Amino acid sequence: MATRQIETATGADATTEAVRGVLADVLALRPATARALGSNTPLFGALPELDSMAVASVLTELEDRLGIVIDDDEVDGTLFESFGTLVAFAHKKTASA
Amino acid sequence: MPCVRRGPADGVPLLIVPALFEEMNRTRRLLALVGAALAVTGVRTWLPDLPGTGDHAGTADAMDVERWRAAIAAVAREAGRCRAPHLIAVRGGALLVDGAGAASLYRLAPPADGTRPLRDLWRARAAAEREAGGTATPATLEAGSVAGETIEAAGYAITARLAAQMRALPLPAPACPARTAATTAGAGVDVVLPGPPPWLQAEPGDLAPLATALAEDVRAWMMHCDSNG
Repeated sequence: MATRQIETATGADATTEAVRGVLADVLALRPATARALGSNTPLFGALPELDSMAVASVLTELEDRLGIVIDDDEVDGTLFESFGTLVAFAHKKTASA
Repeated sequence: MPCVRRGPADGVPLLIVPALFEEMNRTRRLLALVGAALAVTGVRTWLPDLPGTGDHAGTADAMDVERWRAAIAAVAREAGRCRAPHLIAVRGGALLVDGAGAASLYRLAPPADGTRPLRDLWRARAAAEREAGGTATPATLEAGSVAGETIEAAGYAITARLAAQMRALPLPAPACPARTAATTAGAGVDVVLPGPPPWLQAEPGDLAPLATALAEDVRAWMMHCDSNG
């Protein structure tokens, strides 16, 4: 049974923070920008640093930090739509890991 | 072999095993800063370009785990003429050395095994292809590599032989006193240094906080090992 993820008002569960940390590190986001990432913050197309090479780095680093394996078939255009879609994906993967 | 030597000739010897592939370029400036910071405290560093990379001339065939290990051993002999050298191994470089014969081994954010850097290469190539309208995926690139193809990725020609060697590379069990540093906490991490980690960034930004912390931690670790040795 998957552990239920409890999101606080700031979304500060460990998985969410890991995703935030990976984006901040790979994209060299300013701390304020990283902190301001919320469910509805758009990613691909909105963050100029997030090109397809950076996407590759984000995926591998998420695997390392969350102890998951991402099948590249799971990666489509919607995954990086917003911070929320990426976090939801990470939650799903860590729950089944 | 091209090798940057810094610090006093009679300094404490420290051999730096660089990161692999694109991460080698991304960490070049970090390692230059660390080498310079250590030099003024009496540490002599050797930073080689591995065969087939950087300023080291050679064809794709030169990139070979056995050749890399032989090259590292050759620099270690030079660095260790008077006393056993200390080792720093950066990222994928940590897959190449277990520290046998060294005074100590300091690993910076080592990957779990050789499949990680390989996966990065295939993802980078697939990403570049997608932007150019191509259809390769990491899975098709891996299949091609397993079938014997040389795959161009991130500016390197990855031969089937090199890919096979990488797939078989575990992170070796240390054969000398060892310490692991990273910029995020995790299993097996002894010290967390300030980020952001330049090996993840296309254009590394301000490296000073990490370089300063890394140089200080490496120096303290080497002194600790020397006083116990």
